[in-house]
Amino acid sequence: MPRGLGGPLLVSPMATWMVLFFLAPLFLIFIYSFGYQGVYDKSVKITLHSSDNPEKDGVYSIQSLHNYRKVISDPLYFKAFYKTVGMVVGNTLGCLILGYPLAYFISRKSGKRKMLFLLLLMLPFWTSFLIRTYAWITILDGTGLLNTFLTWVGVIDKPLGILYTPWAIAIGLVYDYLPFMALPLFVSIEKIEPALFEASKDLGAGRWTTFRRVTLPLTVPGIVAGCLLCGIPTTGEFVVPMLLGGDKIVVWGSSIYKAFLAYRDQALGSALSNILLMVMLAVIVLYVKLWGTEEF
Amino acid sequence: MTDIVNSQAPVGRREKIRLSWWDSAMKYGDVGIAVWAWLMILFLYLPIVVLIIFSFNQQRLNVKWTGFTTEWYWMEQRSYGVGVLHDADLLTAFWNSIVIGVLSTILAVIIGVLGAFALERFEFRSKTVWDGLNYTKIIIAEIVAGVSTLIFFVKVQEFFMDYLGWNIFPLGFRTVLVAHVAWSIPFVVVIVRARLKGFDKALEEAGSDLGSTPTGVFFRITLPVIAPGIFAAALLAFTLSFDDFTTTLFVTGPQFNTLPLIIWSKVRMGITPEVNAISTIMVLLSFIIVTILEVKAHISDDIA
Repeated sequence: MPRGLGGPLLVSPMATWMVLFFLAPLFLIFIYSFGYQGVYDKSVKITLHSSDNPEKDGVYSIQSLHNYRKVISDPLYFKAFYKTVGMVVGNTLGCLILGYPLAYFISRKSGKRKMLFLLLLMLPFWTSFLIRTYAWITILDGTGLLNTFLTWVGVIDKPLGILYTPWAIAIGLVYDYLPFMALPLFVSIEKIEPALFEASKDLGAGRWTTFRRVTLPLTVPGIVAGCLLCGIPTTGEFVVPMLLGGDKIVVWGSSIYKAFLAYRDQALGSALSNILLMVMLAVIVLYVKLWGTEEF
Repeated sequence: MTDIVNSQAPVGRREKIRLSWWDSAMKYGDVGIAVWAWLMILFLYLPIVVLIIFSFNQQRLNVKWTGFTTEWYWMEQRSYGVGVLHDADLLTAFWNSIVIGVLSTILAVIIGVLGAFALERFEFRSKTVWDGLNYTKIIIAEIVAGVSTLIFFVKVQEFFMDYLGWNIFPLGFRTVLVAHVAWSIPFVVVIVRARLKGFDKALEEAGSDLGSTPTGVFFRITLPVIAPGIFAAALLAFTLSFDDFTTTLFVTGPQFNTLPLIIWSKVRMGITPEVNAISTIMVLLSFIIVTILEVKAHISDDIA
């Protein structure tokens, strides 16, 4: 491959954009998370000298862990943390269980039909997830379609209150993230040499044994990639929990939303975002260490 | 292929491996998987169908079907609402989304294609850094990028206003545009790189052997070959920008709304037939466009 100035020259617009509008902002929230938000003057103060009375002076030292202390000591954030963990694990497992048979089914189709099913899988992805999440309100609401249907069939006598519970969040999330799991799974099932199934069969293995000893081990990279693509973005999710979970269920993403748009405390919001960022980066680094960058 | 999996194993061999209960249950596995897959397809489309049906419902307050109407589309301002085609805020926001979408796509595609070339065709020291940065940007939760870009814009604006009196980043059109470009670039790079990977370099060599200049080779050979990749990347970049909610929510100012922001403010109030009507229009538009492009792509594949 050619060396010289060509590469750096071509990459420079992208590099500039990424450094200015991605890296620099991340660095800024890192700094801000140690800052102190004035009560009257709404700009965040950050100084290098420490102040013993930040409330009065309106400044706080850069070594200060003020915001982090607030996050750790407030049980609200602890609750938000474990609810977020539950949400991420639930969504990832849900997508995996629902998506694996679907990916398997599509990968066994041939030619045109395979393309048709892939198109069917990807089509909803091209519309706004806000709209797709909203659609579930119509279905899950107390007077919504699901309840009307179940009452009509006679399964239940009084409406199920699914909307504004963790179940509603789970349904909405799995719905939004299913293609992100199914696609990498599809790719890795596709890659398996058909002769391997044949060999397994010839050696006397049944279907379950073939799945457990051949298909599953060979699709581990797809499973891991799918879990990463579903799991990591879910950590910061706030739209689905806010729309389908109501105001009672507060997750990490919605507490960041509130810090910025309700209390207007940018320093606290930065600390919350920074914690989230560190967790996500740790998972990404772990993945790269374990699996390398090939599977992306 | 399914026949291979289904066919019986040689009898002599079968005695050696004990088939588990699951193995016998899996005889019906194909049917089970097919049923499951169709249920998943139903799961993916049911909410969208419901949304479309209820955009024609007369009832305003809940999802009880009371009769067919198209007034949520055409109706002029009334005391109880307005049809989406007469909603001024909505139409402005729609126009804003289109403008931002088109401009950010053009910028992201230019910057992304150059970047993809650099990463795929050249060797230089910082390559892995930009590569890693791209993937990180794609995968991390958007809210972090959103709030950090907000703080960045506020700080830059403050700095330029205080020291130079330049109003360069007022929250609104410009900040949304810049943030959307940053959001789309990594996706463009990934798609165009994939296309470049499968590129037969002999074509380019033939071009230069036949006396074409490097610029000529680029415009007459390389560009036409990777054009489908660029087109796919542009389509994705436009969709990402047009549908973007999280980043826009944080980096925009009070004067500048895009369509998803308007939808959010309406959805927060609960179910409304207007939102169903907007959603129906958006869903049908994107379905029609994507399906046409997909079908066209496969028809041309078949010809080639």
